[in-house]
Amino acid sequence: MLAFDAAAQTAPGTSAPETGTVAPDTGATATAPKKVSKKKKTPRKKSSQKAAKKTSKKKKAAHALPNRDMDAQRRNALESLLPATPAAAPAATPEPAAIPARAGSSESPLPADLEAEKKIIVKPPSEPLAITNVVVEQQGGAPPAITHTPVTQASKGHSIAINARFVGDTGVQAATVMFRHAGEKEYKALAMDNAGGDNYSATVPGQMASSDIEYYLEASDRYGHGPSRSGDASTPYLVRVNAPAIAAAMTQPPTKPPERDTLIGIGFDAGAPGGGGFTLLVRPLWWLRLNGGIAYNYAGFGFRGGLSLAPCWCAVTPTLNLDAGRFLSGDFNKFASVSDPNARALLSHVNYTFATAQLGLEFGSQRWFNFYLRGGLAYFESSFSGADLTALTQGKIASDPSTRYKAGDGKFTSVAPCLSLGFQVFVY
Amino acid sequence: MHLSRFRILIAAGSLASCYAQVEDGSVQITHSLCSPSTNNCIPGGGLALSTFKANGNNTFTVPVADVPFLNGSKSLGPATVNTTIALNNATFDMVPQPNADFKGLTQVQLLKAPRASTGPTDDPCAAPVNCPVLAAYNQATDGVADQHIVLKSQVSNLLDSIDQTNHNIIFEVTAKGTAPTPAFWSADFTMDLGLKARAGVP
Repeated sequence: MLAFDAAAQTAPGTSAPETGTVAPDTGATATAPKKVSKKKKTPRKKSSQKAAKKTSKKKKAAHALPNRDMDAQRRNALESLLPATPAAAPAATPEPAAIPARAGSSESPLPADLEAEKKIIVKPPSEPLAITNVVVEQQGGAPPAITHTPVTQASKGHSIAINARFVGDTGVQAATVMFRHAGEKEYKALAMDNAGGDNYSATVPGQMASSDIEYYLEASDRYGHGPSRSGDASTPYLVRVNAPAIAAAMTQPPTKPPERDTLIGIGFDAGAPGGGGFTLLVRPLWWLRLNGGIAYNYAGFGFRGGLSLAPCWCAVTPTLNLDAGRFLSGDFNKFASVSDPNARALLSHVNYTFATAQLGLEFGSQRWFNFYLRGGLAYFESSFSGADLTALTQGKIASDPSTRYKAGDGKFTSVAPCLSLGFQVFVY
Repeated sequence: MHLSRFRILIAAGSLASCYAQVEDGSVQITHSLCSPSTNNCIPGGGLALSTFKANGNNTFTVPVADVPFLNGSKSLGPATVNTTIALNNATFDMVPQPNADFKGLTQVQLLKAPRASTGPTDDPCAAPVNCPVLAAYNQATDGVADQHIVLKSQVSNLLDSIDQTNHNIIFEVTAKGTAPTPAFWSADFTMDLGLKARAGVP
């Protein structure tokens, strides 16, 4: 149609052809309309080699026709409808002629009247030309080659995207995913859509992803060659459909820290009964933090250190924290109202060592800033001066001069729940 | 459901492991058998001994201070406080004077008396069943004592021996052998105690 249109548009007013021979090189032949009509469904091949090949085949086919030349009556009827056409760029015709016999020439092309042509096209042929013409259009070629990376894992209830690349000289037609649940006999067909270029894709609906799925791909070319297959009905690809958590774990890479960790930071925290503190943080390994710093418990200052294990770098990161430290002499009379002077003396210089084991949740970035909440158990150990204890006890029996007390150093130990919250900033 | 139970068990286990404890491994209470005013008050003279009769009584009383949690198991909010007072040992140290020693003693027992003696003839421990042995010395096994004699503990917890009202312990000392040579002598009695008070979640 296009070839014929080109001739019609570029050759207005040209004269009738001098001979009744078929002029396939311009397309203005009796068979041209039907050929063109058929070609309308066929994409053009840009390659001149392909065009030559196609032309050669057309020639052969045309020679094979029993009624290759139209009868004179029909030819004359056609030619009478065609106006005279001046010589004007017949070379613009994109499709080469199928038959070497020629009516008109590049210098004096055949006239074409579009309306008349349409009438001719619409007019049913008196002979079975259409059938022979269809035979003419049967092309050679091969089914497309398939390049496909099999899908092996999927998440239950989630759609499964299947992608493939189909490459063929004669186009791609009927690219299909044939799939079934593992154990079923019949495959279901799912058409693949062109995703640009040679790429095709199809999506198995999520509701189908209820159990393992088997599939294979197949496609033909435009002329029905094939199908070629990737996998086949007897040896299909298998997609394991897992529970969502398992699928996520299998398909997603483990959460890893960035290539370059931040190594040094600072932290502030407060809690009970450990008080508050300022610590310097060092991260020798991405999952390990060491800390050390000073602490204050309202009664006095101390120092402490520890380590934290962070098994992942997540928005909410669970941690295991082990710390230990020592508070130096502090006045615990701030926490108790004691009237006994010996007891006050005893509490005026309390020191203790502690160790904590806590589980925590850290919110935010492990790389730069996060705040946290921790809870666990704390062990405390404090010693009391024997002299103070002696004075304390002796004071209670001061009325008996015949009895004396002498106490050794006392020890206080405790395991108690502990809670802390704080934040930390990594600066380098 | 199981996870919730597991969490509850973990939480309960953690709380159950919580405690607070005060301990002192050595608290020495020293009591002079003879008051400073009476000086030497125990009959000696190398006579056969049956009891130490300080100030004419078969018993003597030692005050134990009103220390916290002295009354054994005690509830303190959700926690229970358990106190133990171990008697590490008991000693007698002779108040120095010429020829005063414990070499003649072959056996000494420290008894917990149910009440104080009222006079030389009043022996609350006449019936031994009323007076458990708290500590004892045996020359055959412990060696000959000089001016310092050590009685080994025979009890694990002295708490039950302490009067919960006035926080005193009443002792009676029985002995075998011969008394120190001086006509009257004196000694300091010392209890070495180990104290421990532990408050835990039941």
